[in-house]
Amino acid sequence: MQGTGTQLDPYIITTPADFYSLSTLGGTNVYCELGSDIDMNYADDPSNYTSLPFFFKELRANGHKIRNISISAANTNIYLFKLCPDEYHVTSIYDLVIENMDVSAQKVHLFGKTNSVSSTVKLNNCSFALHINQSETTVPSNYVSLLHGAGIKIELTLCNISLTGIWGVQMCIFCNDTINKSHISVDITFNTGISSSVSRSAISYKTTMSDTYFTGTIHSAAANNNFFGTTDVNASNSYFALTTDNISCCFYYGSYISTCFLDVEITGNAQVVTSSGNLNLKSLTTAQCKNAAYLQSIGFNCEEA
Amino acid sequence: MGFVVDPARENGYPSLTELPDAPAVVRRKPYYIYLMRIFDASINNCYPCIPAIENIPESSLDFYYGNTHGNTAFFGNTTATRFIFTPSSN
Repeated sequence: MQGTGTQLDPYIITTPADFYSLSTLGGTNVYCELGSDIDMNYADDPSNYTSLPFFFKELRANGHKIRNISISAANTNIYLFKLCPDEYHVTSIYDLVIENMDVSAQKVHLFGKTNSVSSTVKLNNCSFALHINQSETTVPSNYVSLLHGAGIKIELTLCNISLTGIWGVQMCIFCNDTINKSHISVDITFNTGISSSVSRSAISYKTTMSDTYFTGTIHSAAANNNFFGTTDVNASNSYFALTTDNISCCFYYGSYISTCFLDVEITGNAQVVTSSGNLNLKSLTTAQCKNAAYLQSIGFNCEEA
Repeated sequence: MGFVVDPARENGYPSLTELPDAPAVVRRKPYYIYLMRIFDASINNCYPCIPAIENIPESSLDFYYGNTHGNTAFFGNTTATRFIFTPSSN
């Protein structure tokens, strides 16, 4: 592998083997770049994927892709990218594309680590396409999410995440995270219903978001199912256009600091419940959601094309 | 830059033009090919491995998706390397 891992002479990763060598060469002060797409088909044993070691301080992917990660691991909790198990540190990732990830397991985290030392992952200008099936039917009681395992926080800036899959039960996509200027697109089916008291299952739980939008479809295979969009969030200038299918009640709880909105015409027969007394989350028709002048009039910051 | 309402983008909802494009979730199984024994359902037997072929064009492998990794399926209990699967296995 080219480079020495310093900021001026980063490691240049061009193969899966290069990436895995970071298990020994990497560290919390190591700098890396992707020199080409990393196609996991060309790992030594692609059917037995093991977590790629994200053992660096900074990865500049330069728009290159990590592609074709495929895992089928029933009854197993897995994380796909392994953070350095050292002291608290921040891992910054720029311009990374993840393409054609297809994972089935009991419970999945994108980022994880082997101990409970806290870490932060900053994702900047990244674009992920994830197909993830999870069979777990119990909502986790700790602060974990699809994006990360325990002790890890994610900060998204200018990221575009597409997520599809069939899940045993609704779980957080974000928990204790920060999302700024990003788009989250989902098409997820939940097989097991949850009660209206399991608020920690929200797709955004205890998360701060600004200038962010959620689109797509939430399906329920269970009758009379509840769906939690947000719980304990701090949200500003963000919106939700989520079509719901076979959902009885949609909950959007939290502190909406400035005008946000949701499209209530695409929620089917679901009742939409928002935090009482919070006037900054507006329930709009589809036409209102697509009308720049109207959105400006209610305080949503946007422009006409 | 912030939200822009453009009928040509995001189905007319506000969108952020500075975001990177989202890659498609293609749901195509990766094309690593398994060293496998081909299961013959009629005689409950396995044939020897078929020859290895490297550098398989991705476009030729779309059919591959949909098979399972179950114990009795084409890919059961196999060791991964780059071999090609032919759909006319039995």
